[in-house]
Amino acid sequence: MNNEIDNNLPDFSKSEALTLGIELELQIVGGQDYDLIGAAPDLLREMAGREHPGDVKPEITDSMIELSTGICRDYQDALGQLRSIRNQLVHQADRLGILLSGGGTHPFQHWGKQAIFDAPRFHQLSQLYGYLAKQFTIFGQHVHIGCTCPDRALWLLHAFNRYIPHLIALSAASPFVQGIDTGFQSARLNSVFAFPLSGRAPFVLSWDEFNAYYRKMIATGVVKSMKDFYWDIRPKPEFGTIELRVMDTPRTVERAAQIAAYAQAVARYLLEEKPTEPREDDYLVYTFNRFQACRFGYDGTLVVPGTAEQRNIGDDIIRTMAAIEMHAYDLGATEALNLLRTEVLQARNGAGEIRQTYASEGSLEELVRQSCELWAGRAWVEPGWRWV
Amino acid sequence: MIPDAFNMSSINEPLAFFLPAWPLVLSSPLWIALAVALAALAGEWVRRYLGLPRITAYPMVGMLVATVAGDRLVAEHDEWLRWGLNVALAILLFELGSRVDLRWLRHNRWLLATSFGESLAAFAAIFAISRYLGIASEPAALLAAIGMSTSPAVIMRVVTESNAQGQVSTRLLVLTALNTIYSVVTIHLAMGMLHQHYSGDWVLAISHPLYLLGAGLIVGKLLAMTISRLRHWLTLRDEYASIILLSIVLMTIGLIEALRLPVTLCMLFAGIVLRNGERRAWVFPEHFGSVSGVLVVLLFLVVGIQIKMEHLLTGGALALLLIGARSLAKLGGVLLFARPAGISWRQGLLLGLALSPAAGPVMVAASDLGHIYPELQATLIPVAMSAAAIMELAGPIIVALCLKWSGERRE
Repeated sequence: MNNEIDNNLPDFSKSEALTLGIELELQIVGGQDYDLIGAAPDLLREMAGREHPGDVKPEITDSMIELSTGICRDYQDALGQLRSIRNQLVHQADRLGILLSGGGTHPFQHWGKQAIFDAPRFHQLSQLYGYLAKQFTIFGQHVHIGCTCPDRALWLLHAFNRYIPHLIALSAASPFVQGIDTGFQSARLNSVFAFPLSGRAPFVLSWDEFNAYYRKMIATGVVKSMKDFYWDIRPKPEFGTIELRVMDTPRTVERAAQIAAYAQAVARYLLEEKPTEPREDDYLVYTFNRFQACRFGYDGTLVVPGTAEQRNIGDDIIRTMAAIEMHAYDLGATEALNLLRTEVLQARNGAGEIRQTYASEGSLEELVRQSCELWAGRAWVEPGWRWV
Repeated sequence: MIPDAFNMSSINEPLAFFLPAWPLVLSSPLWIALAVALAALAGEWVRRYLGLPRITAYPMVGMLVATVAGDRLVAEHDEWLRWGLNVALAILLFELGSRVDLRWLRHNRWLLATSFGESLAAFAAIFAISRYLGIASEPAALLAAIGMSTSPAVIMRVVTESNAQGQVSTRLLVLTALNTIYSVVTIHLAMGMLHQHYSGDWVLAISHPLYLLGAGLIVGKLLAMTISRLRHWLTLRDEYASIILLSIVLMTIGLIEALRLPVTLCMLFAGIVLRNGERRAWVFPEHFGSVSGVLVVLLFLVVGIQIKMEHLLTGGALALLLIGARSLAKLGGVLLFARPAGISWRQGLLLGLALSPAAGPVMVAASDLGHIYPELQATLIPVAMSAAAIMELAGPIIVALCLKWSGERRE
């Protein structure tokens, strides 16, 4: 990072409409005690020069690592890329005797033990935010959706706010924090709230207005770049995308690809059918809906923006799935939609699975071990030493 | 008649029947306890003011105690001290074994290659130097076998104390467990050769290591099975569970001695089986380590008591040569496979150096050898004793520094 501040937003690159990009933040777990372990430098060193699609990058603490796909056309493409990166990462982790896991939080890590990854930007963040930076040892999925022009991107960003609770409920996988069941399905998002620039983007629908807002914020000295906004959805001008950031990292790459496909189909539905026109007042119920989704998942209550109608979040997802079915078909995401629908109908998500595993095993270490095996794609793994 | 009782003809007669004789006769357990207390205090001091691991201080206090009190302190209580030390060692090795993940070795064959490499190199280096010093090949092989092993006690304590986690410390534990296994088996073979037990009988020579490994594995499996049965209805993380665990370990030691098996090997196997036999996550009970805390102090204290000032000096340059060659051999073995095994050169360097502490039994074995071969008294024994003594004192410091430089210490 140089200190010279660019007062202007970077130009909005033009992306092919509705292309996908997925980023997943992963937990690096020690093979000895199943706690987080600061092995990102080791893993990155061993990943260097290996053939795989997408990219693998460090994150703020060195027990986190981020994988990202390249630009994906559709669900199958995203799934293929994610599996390929996952396999290479798991292979290297196996060589290092460490484990990788999905999920929005590590169930029993202590934030005080985390170390900041050794890079200037992360040290700056750590200085600014103090212990918040270390408490930011949480793991999310980000989905980029390509937009052809910036105004359309902003329109989509605000039209999408109604569906944010869906994405939270579908991906929720962080009931445990610091060894305790929080009662939330996604406790991870509570940590994001602590940041001053979290929440929603300002309601502007043209790129010029947005640029004006951005310049004003820069002038206040509060922010230095787009990276300092921790909004739930934010435009990413360099990529020509909007970035959905509310999801917990799911427990498998398959689930991550399905959720991205769902978001893609919703975006196509919104852009082509224009079922509603976004308004500032939509945000009156936004934080309420968001909280309900974090706390109760599918069982939460959602107030439909612009009405006083209250719906069950799970029901609302099923209705939305019916509405977007044709779009999912056109995008080649029918399989993803069907798999997700089954989960919703059975009221299953990552948080539920995690609680169930803990209830039957009674040990958070064993829970972490199973999460790691699940992530590696080998749910039923052989005992270490068969012939003893 | 009564005044007679007050007749203080001898100072040893007590004043009254319930009073002790004067001067007080203090039993040696009191002195041993005092030494343990002193060692523990010195340990805290070393940690606070020098930033070194506590166990650095224990053997030094032991040396000091030995110069003041002589080694009769240990000699008089040989039997129960030996038990105490065995228990301390057994618990340490059990825990060390449970840190070995066999799946890792299967996923990373180069790690196994590293292990063979560094052990063989250390064996070869010591064997060559001993032969060069004019020692017959059997005792030379014995010494070399002992030298293969990295001190499990030092490694376990320093890694635990510095709360280190990462490639260097995890590999350090695994390599130590493995080279200790190789070492124990080879020592028994070399002893067999030395005492001419085999006398050309190949069946004996082959069945000996098979018995050690096989029976050791069975005892280990028994212990591991007992514990994993217990685990189903007992919270092993509970403080009280470690009492049960401790008594099971004690019983196992009894069994091991009855079967004439090495404690080292059996407990390592038990740990390894426990960790790898089941799919479930195994994490050692938190309080288990503190149970053995006092015993660990005692262990290092006794090691120190056996070190004499003259040991450090008599070996001279040859002792340093032996240490240097062994350390270099281990370092070379690790560095050779460092990159394919998935660690950086720097990590390889630190791992190789951290493997250098020599195991405690070296000195015992060396003095045993001296009794069997009086002619070695002049050549090999002082060198080996000296090398072992130097490494006992320097080992913990080297490991602590390596872990610090690797950035894996989390205190």
